[in-house]
Amino acid sequence: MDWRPTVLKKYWEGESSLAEEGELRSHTDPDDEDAAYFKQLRDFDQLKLPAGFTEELMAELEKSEGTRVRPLVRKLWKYAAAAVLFLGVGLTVFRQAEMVPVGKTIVYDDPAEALEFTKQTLLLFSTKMNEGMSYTYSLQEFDGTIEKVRNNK
Amino acid sequence: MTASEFRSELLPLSDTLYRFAISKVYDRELAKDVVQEVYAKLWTQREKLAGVRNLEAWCIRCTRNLIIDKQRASKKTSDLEAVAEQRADSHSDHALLHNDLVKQIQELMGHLPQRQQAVFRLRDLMGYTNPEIGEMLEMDQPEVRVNLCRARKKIKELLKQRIDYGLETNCT
Repeated sequence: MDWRPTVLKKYWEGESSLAEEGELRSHTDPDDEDAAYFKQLRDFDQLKLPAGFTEELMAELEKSEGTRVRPLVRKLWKYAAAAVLFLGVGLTVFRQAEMVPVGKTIVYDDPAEALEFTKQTLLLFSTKMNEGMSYTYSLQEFDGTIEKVRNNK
Repeated sequence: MTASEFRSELLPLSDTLYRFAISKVYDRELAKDVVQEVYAKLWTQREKLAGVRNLEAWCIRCTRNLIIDKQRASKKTSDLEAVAEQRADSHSDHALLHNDLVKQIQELMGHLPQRQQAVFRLRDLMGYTNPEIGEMLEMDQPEVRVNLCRARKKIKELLKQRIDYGLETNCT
């Protein structure tokens, strides 16, 4: 083991490679003053979990998967609620966009359809106009009554 | 990460995590419990593990953090040591031999400053390279080398003293 003194020197200076350190551990000279040190490290390397530990662990972990269902369902409910809210808001915005804004020009290719739309608009306008006029008449009557009361004073 | 990826990528690290835990809690049974808890945590977070660059370093960090949490919870490390001593009484000869080794390592490591302990643990007990250790402990390479060199020399000296004074245990 001619290589040993050189590698040992490197080892104590913290300059050896992992492979060289592995060699030092596995080829220990019992009469060497460093034998106890390397035996200690070698024994530590051999510490292992009991056989079957990982299989038992995986079985337990997979069994515990069922307990994760509850949080998962809760999470899914959150997403479902968010989706419903999103759809609701989206639908409202979409319907508002469909309503014709004031001042916007509507162009129909079919004259009959255009005429029908115009009639309906005018009808709506006339209904609202009549409704407004009735309020105006009421107000005029109210003003007239107030005037009469003042004159009587 | 799927269950089969978990099996193939994380389970082979179990002995590494076990040795790391032993080198921190100095008790085989406690270390086994720690490894079990670490895997339980990793299992619940396995969907997030797909983006982890260095899984081994990540697992070591998880193990270290869990041990720190346990030590904080039990206020003192001595509580963990008390459990270790209690358990040692009920073990087989083979287990006791290993417990002697663990106890000896604990005593030797106890003579080192924290940074030297950490570097020695990762290099000589866990087999990480100096750049990996530097990354894990946020140290530059010369600092890693100096701490490693000092730790090794100190442990060698302590072992020599034990042999000279006949304090050698079953393991040596």
